[in-house]
This record gives sequence, C-alpha cells and structure tokens, in this order.
Amino acid sequence: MISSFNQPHLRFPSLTHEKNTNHLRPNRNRFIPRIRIPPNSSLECNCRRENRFSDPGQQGNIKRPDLSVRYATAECPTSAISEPGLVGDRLRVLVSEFGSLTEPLDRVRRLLDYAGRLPPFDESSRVESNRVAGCTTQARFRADSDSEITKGFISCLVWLLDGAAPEEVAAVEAEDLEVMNVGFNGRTPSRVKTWHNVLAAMQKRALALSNKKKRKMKKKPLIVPPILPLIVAAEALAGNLPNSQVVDHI
Amino acid sequence: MEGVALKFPPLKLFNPNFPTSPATTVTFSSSSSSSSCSASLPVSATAGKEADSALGTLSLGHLTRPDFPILHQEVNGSKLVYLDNAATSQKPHQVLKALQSYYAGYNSNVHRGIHYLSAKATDQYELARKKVADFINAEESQEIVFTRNATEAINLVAYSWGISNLKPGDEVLLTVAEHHSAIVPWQLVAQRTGAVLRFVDLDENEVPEVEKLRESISRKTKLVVVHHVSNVLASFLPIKHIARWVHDVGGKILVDACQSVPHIVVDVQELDADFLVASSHKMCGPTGIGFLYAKSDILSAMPPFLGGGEMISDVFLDHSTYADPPSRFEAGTPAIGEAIGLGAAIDYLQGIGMQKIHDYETELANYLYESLSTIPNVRIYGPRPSEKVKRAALCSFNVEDVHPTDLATLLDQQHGVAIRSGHHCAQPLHRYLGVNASARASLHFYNTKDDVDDFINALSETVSFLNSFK
Repeated sequence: MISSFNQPHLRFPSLTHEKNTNHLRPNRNRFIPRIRIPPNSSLECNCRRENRFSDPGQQGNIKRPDLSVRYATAECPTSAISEPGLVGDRLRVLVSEFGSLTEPLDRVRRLLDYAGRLPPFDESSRVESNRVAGCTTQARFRADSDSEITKGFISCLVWLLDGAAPEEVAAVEAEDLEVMNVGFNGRTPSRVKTWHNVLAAMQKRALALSNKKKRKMKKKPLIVPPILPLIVAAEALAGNLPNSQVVDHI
Repeated sequence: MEGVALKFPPLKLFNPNFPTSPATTVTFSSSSSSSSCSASLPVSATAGKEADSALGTLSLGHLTRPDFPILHQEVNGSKLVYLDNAATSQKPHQVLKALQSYYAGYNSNVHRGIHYLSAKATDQYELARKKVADFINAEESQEIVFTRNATEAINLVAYSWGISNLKPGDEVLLTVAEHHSAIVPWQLVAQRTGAVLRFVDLDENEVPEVEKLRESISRKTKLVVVHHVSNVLASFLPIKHIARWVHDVGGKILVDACQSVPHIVVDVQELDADFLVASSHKMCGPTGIGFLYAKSDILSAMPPFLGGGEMISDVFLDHSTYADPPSRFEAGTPAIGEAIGLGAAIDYLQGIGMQKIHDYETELANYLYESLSTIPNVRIYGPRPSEKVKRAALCSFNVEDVHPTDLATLLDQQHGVAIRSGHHCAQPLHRYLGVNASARASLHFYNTKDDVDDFINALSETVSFLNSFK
C-alpha cells in the first residue's frame, strides 16, 4: 500500500465488509446535520483517539501527534443491489449544503464536525483473509486520516459513496465536489488535495472488484477510467523499480 | 565591453517613507554600458548620528520590505505574512527590473553570436558568473557552472564525477537530515557503481552527530555530502572541519549550501569545499537558475553530463570533442535572463551585506524559536538556540494532536499566513524523528518581528479552533 508521505497520512480505503453499526452513535451533538444520515450509515460511530506516546526528546512530555496510518482491508459484501441514482441524489445534497456555506471557515467547521462522525477504523479487519474475490454491485467504504479536515472530507465521501454501485462510484468527478474545498484554490490536482486521491482510490477499488466479479462471471470487464497520475506513479514506483533504493527505513 | 562585478561594502539602507534627512538613490552600473545589470539601492546621503539614530529604530526587515512588491498584498482578506522562505524567497524590484531590462533590451543567444545584442547578452551572462564567483569567493569564474538549480548541480556531480570515480565498495557519507536532492542522485549512482551510502544519525540535540561522522570517515570514504544549514532542523554543520577530515583520507566534500548562501557569508576558500551547490530562487533570484562551484582541477577532469550544443569543441558523426569547463557542463541555450537576474540578486544582497543579514536573521531566529515555544504542546525540531548553538531563522514543528496540514490550511485561509506543511523534501529525517510531516515557518531578512508576532497569534487561534472540535 502506498503512503503519500507528506500529506495527511492515510491508506487508501478498501472495500469493506459491511457491519451493522447502528448501535454506535457520535458522542457530540453540537451540529445538527441538514442531511439525514441513513440509519445504516457508517457515519453513526464514535471516533476514538489512539496511540498516545511520550516523546523523550528535549521538550519533555510533549507528545507527538498521532500520525500513524490506519486503514482497513476488507471485503465486498453480498447485500442487495443499491438504488440507481443514489450517488447523484447524495451529491446534490452535499453540493447544496456546502454551497450554502459561503464562508470558508464555516465549511471547515462543517468538515470538522463530520470528521467526528467517521467510524473508528477496525485494525483487526486489516488482514488479507478479509479480501473477498468477487462481490455484488455494492461498494462499502471505511477510511481514516490523521488530519481532521481530510477526515471531514473522507466522512463526506464515505457517506456519498457507501453502498453505491461501482459504476456510480466511478462516475463521480473531483470537480463535482469543488464546492467543498477549503483552503486549496486552483483547479489542477496537486499532492495537497488528499481527498482527491481518496476519491480516486475508492473509484479504483470499486471498479477493480467489479471487474473481478465480472471476470468470474465471464462477462466483459468494465473499462477502468484513468486514475490520477499521482496514484499511478506512486504505485508504479513502489512495485516496479528494479533494485530500488527508495529509503523506507533507516 | 568588459564589465566589473563590484564588491559592495555594507551600506546603510534608507526607507524612502521614513521622514529623515534627504536620501539619494544611487545606481551602481556593473558594466560600461548603461542600464544593463544595475542594482539601484536607496542610500542615505548622510551617514551622521542623526540619520543613524533615526534608522536605528527600524529593523532590516522594515527597511527592505518596500523593495519587495509581492509582500504588499492581501490573501483571503488578510495581509500576507510570507513565512515560506526556505521553499523559495521573494524578489526585490531590482531583480525584476534586471529581468525586464534583459528581455526588453538585449535578449539574444550567447557565446557564438557576432551582433551587438548577442555580444551584450554574452557579456552580462558572463558577468553574472563572475558575480557568483565573487559572492562565494571562488578563485575564478570558470569554477562556476550554471545549472537549472541545486538539484541539477548535484546530479551533475553524481553523474559526471560520481560515475567515473566511484568503485564497488567506495563509501559516500551523508546524514539522515539531507534533502532528497542530496540523497537520491547518490542512490541512483550507487546502484550503478556499487558504491555504498552511509547515513549519520542525529545526536540528542537533534543535530547530525559530528563526532560519529568523523569516525565514519575512512580510506573508503570517497565523498561526504552534507548540508551547510538544515532546512528542517535549522542547524549548522562545521563544514570546514568536515572538509579537513575527508581531505585527510583523500576524499571530497559536496556542500549543499541552499539554505546558507542566501543567509550567511559563504566562503568556499575558507570552507575548502570541493563542490558547493545553491539555487538562485532561494537567494532572491529568479527560478530556473542555480550553480555548481567546483575546484578547477576537479572540474577539468570531469566528463560531460548533458550533451549538446555549447558544450562541444568539434562534432563529427562518430565522435565529438568537448569544451573546457564551465562550458563543458552547460549544454544548450542557458537561462540567460535568469542568470543575469541572479547577478542582480547578488548585487542586492551585497548591497545590504551578508554579515548584516546573518546578524539580523540570528536575532529573528531566536525570536521565532522563543515565541513558538510559548505555544502549548508544541514540538520544535532541531537544537535549542544558545550562545554556542546558532539556529537559522526557521522552525519546523508539530502541535500535539493537530495535523500540520490542518494548521497550514487555516493559517492561510483565516490569517493570510503562509507556512509549509509536509516533509520538506526530507522524508528520511521525518521518519527518523518519528513523524510523517511537520509544519515549517522560515524567515528571510525582509521579515520582521511583527511577522513573527502575527504568525504566533494566528497559530494560537488556529490551534484553539481545531482543539475545540475534539
């Protein structure tokens, strides 16, 4: 798995095994969302802080921020086919909500609130045996990040795409969600726009599993849309450079 | 049409907006022709006590800020506070004017032209080379090779000197705090030659362990590649001593001076550096130009790096002969205007005086460090400043439970404060420190303590804001 070293650290989300998370609710009610969060949504979870450790360095008990990577690998569920047009409807809701927040700080506040609603990442799911070859047309996502703003973006992406058909996942473009942007101006993808990478990774995985399933059923695979160059380059470098001396541990 | 690179003594700078005795603007023309590569510096006509005491209340930052047009703007509704100078510096209008003058007045290809414009462009380009040579006290201009930037300069050394001199088992010594541009080219060359890279760790003060570096130097050490000033830790390395140790075993030293040349006096004779690299854009010059300094005997023995026009002597179908340095290493049409712009930047810096810049930035460095230390739960990387230990005017830091990217985003969006967040092209160093990323505020002589205050206030508010959501 590739880490984007300089960015808010995250692993690109995988398709996950659906778990009923109804019983977990956010522990803050500062913000009443204008969108109704569906009862089965993975957004209704506590988000726990992890891994405090002390720093023996010169500043005594100052603790380093928890910048460890957390991600899930899991499987594609065998639940019912999702409702067509689901992503489109949710996208309109998101765009409308964020579009109404004209002050960038209000968008940040909204994202930070959503960050708190992202479900905790289950470390025990991070095993290869959780990968399941072949799946239905429904994709479920879990993801995490150590940057709160990015976590907010991810929370919205998860809500947007969780339970959607891979084709619908693939059809979403980063430009559709530009209204959510805070801080980063400009249209060219840059390595700072982590959440663009998250979206691209979700799309890639959704289509990969869909292709796998279709190959199993001896159908013609979907054409995978072009992936953002950053991700392709990063993954290509990690896997393909012969005798690479990329520093990964000293 | 010969020109002269003037070595300017430190001059008093006068802020035209400050009501004191009348000032005179003096234009220093660096060639016999007019307007080509001049540095216009406002100079106090009277240097008496009255002027002194009036000027004494203004810092170097306040005095030089008017020269930098880009600093006088608002971003996202707030006054710009630019604290990302280690990434790139801003340019005084003298440099902008030099670029404009070149392209508007005498842009022409260099070295082989016969006509007037070409001759003038060639003169100014070579004059810029001489200015660089004088700036770092090289013995002669021919020891300066213009490159695109310091990264290309290091690659030049790696692919030219490294490939032809490194054998299997030879050692290249670096530190874990090196910039990627100082590491990756040597990884690539080590793969091809069988040389071994060795990295020195940090000590308890978060500075490369100099004693360990000394002990690691052996007969196998063919090259030591070290920064002069760290772009993350803000620490200085004793280059002069390291050079002596490596020369004693017959090795060479390559100094990454990107963060030192713009800020302190750098004298390659005193350092006894074999190779030294720097980038123009970090020293108030334009992007697209940098340089390699190398001792002339080393440069003469190095094979070409890039091949093409300009670097040849004769070209046949089956072989070519090559020019002497520095042309041997400058293939193709160079960044002529940019080199001239770099020359103008050097004129500007010399006009202030590098020692004066260093002294002021030391004061700023201490102020930044002490101010940042007042923020709760902040962790600043690198040594604590003291009488013995100097820091550059930058701080890389983290705040507990707050991602640096979130900090940088809100500092920009809500306060107009520009800092950097990431690994600052030092992934091995961050891995060593146990973090993925850090925030970094880095200053230059046109920053002021007011900028530091604005930054600290904005940081404090941002941290409180982000913590309120936890």
